[in-house]
Amino acid sequence: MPSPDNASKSELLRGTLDMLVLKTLTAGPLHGYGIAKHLEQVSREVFRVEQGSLYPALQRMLQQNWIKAEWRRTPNNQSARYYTITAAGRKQLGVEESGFAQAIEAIRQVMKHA
Amino acid sequence: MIKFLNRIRDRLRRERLADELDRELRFHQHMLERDYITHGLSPVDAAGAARREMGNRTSIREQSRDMWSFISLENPLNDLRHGARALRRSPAFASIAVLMLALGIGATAAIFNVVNGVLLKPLPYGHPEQLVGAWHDFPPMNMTHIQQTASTYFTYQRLARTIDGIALYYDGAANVAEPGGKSEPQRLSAAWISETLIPVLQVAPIRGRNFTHAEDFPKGPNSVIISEGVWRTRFGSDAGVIGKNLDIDGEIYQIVGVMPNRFRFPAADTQLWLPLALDPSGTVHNGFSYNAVARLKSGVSLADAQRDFAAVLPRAIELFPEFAPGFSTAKLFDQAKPTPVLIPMREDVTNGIARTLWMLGAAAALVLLVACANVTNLILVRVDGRQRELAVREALGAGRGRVMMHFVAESALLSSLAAVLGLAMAWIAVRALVSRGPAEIPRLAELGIDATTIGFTFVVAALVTLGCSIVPALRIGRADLSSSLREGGRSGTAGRARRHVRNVLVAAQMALALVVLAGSGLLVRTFQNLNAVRPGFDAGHVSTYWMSLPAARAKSDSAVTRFYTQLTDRVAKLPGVESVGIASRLPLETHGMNQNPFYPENDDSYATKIPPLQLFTTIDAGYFRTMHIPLIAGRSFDRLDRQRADEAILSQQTAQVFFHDSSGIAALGKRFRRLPTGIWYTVIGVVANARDTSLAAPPSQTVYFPEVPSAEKAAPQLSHTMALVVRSTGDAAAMTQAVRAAVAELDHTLPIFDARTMSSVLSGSMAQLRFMLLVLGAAAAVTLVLGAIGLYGVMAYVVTLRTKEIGVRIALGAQPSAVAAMMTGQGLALTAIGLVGGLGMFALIARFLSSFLYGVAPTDPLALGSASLLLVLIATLASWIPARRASRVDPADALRAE
Repeated sequence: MPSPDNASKSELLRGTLDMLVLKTLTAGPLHGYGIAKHLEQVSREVFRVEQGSLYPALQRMLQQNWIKAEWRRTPNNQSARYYTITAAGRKQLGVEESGFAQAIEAIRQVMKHA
Repeated sequence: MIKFLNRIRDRLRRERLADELDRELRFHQHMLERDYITHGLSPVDAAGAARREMGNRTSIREQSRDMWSFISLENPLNDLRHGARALRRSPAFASIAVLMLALGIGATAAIFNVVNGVLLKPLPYGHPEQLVGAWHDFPPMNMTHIQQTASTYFTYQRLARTIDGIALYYDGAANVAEPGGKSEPQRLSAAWISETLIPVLQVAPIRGRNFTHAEDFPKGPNSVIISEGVWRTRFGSDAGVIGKNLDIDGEIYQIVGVMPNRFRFPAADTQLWLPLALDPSGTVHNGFSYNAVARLKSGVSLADAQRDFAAVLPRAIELFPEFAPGFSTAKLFDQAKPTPVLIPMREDVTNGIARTLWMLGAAAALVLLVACANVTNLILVRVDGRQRELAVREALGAGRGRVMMHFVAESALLSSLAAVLGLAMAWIAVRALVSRGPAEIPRLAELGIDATTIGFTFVVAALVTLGCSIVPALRIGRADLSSSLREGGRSGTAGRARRHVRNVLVAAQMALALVVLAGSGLLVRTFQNLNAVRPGFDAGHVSTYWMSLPAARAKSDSAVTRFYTQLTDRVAKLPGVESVGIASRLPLETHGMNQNPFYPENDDSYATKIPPLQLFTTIDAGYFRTMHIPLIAGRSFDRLDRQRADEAILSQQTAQVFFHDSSGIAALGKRFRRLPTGIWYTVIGVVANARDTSLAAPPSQTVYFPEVPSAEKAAPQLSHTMALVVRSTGDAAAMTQAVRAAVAELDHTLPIFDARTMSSVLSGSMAQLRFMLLVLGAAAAVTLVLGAIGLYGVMAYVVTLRTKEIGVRIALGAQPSAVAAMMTGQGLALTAIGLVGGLGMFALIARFLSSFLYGVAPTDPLALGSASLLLVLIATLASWIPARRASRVDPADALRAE
């Protein structure tokens, strides 16, 4: 794990994406398209999730055992791969949320005093 | 860990995962398409938009694929192919690197082959780990490695409980002819063995059988076992060879067995085995003159067996009360306190050569290390030269692992090529060694490049690959590649750390080269010292011819004396012959070596202890004349046909030890015996010392007896096997033909063997040293050259890097000579570091060398000084050439170039 002080910008974003995906999955199993759609809607289209980032991120999280995947039928009877958050994933989400909160707080402090 | 396991699992199902991902992405694209259609796009436009939004599907796949597997291990074939292309593009680098590595690998493989074949490989007998050589120590006399006598052998055979048999053998040679004297007799290497030997070694005859108990008994039937070689060449692989006869030393022997080729015992060239036929009553006294090999029962340790032997040995006192006439076994045990010593047979066989071989192995390893350092340096230069290319590759997405992998693949290619070439070199070297190596190396004939050596070579090659690529790989791993892109040229890269590694490598090479150089310097000094030793005889113009008079032909003792008198008379008349003599033993040869006690008259000090052993040699008066061994007191022997049997001549050293007078005069007229009883011999003369046993040993104590029949039965001084020594006015080697003819006139069935000049005996005694010198010298030359190349490479590189700076200096008025001096100084500074390190290393290993040296200390200032000087000279040259180029830099060109 890179220590927070030398984490580059892209790593911060990647971590954020992981956090957002995990958060999304706490509401229930969802497929990749669904996750992307959800993030766009909830963020009122501020986040445009690139598929080029999303799918590698999903693969990575699968390997970390943060999420599980299985093939299911969609309501429209199409076959899609649904992701479910695991216990390890919930724990990781907690870690990332608190880290994120700290970072936001830090940024706010800096902005206030600068 | 789990993640790692996941990775492995994913790698195994990679194809399915890729398929799943594809389906998933198709689904996503399909959903996007539907979105666009609901937003009112035409199906065609929607499909296009969705495709655009999905972006590069291949890239997603690639990224995921990397996660499912181990990029570093992926596609090694690709890396190899790429590496081969890269090497083809720089043939000079590739061939130099391969050549250097091949030298190192070849040297290591060749020495390994010898070490493995001679020292490590199991002996070709059944369960060789159970075989031990059985010896004695005589602690009160400071004597070790004493052999067996009949009484100790029979004692162990009857009483030792820890062994499955013990066998005696005795190495020699015999004159062999077809019965009836149809063919020229041949001198063949033979061994006299107890009937137990072949069962103990567990090697079955390929035809016929082992000796029977009756055959291995005094006056038993004459039987012989022949080698497969004799069977094939002399008998044309005749299936009915068993039962045929051979004339051996003038007597008819019946062939009872044929031993396979792999049975090379006790010597590699042993062709005949004859029964030792010792009398189990132990009444024949031959002293400690037989070698023994025993087989331990399975599960018995060496220490157990040694305790067992020590416990049963004193029983010999009651079983065989008389050790020699007038000398009881009890007295021998009391005075010599014989202690059994068992040595694993493999060590026993390779005794004496092991240290030499391990030392040569170390030298080969040093060569390999230096070669590796050099190649590493070359690779580093290449890494630097390819900074931009690597940076571009990384920027395009190649992981660092991939880039490193590329260099590992390159090294792997280099070292495999080098391994193949090195094996070829090793093959040639081993062949040369087998045909011309020093005869003292046991099991030499068994050598050949085998699967073990090939396996070893490729393991070494793999290590070399690792060794040569680890430093460059670490460099790449740490280097900030993107900075090299930004800074554009080579000037910005190759920072101090990089040069630092290279400097360390070069200094290490210099240090290793110095170690090998200093080692061979010491051997050169040893060689000089040995050559400067005055052996006490004059080898020039002397030729020697061994012959063995068969007991069957020389029926009586006086017949033997008559034969040699006639022979010397005849040879003396040959043209060009200055003088001629005979001797039962020649200086620096082991054949005929016979050590015995010497009991001087009226000396009580030897009543309770065994006197120091003397070399007993029988000669005629012509021997001293021919060898130019001067008489320093008294007189020499008369002609043999007029010589008394009870007279003897002492060496100066013997006279000194027993009569405390180096002038020899005090010894004259004194009497001595060979045993506490027996006849008295009178000292009639004293001759100057000769280095009898080895040039490095102190002058031996020798007692010379005349080759005439003795009244003493127990100590037959008459020898049937004698060497004729001939001093000629011309070329010694040219005498052979005439001498052979003279011998044939007397007895045409008598083969002459080991005809050689005394000078070759002298140089032969240094064969092992010369061999070591040759190998170590070659190693020194190679490491020196490699070290110089390494230094040159680094200096040339430094000059290239600093061209701009040098240009500026020259433009500002620096003298070219000053620039050259500065650059040379830099090279010499590295050399100095290497020198100090090398001397330090040498100090650590020096004590291992001291046993190889003669007349020179391991810290000999002359040897170390000249090695250092040579290294500095070569290093100066290696750094001066690039330095001179630096001094000739045209400032204008240099400044414009960047």
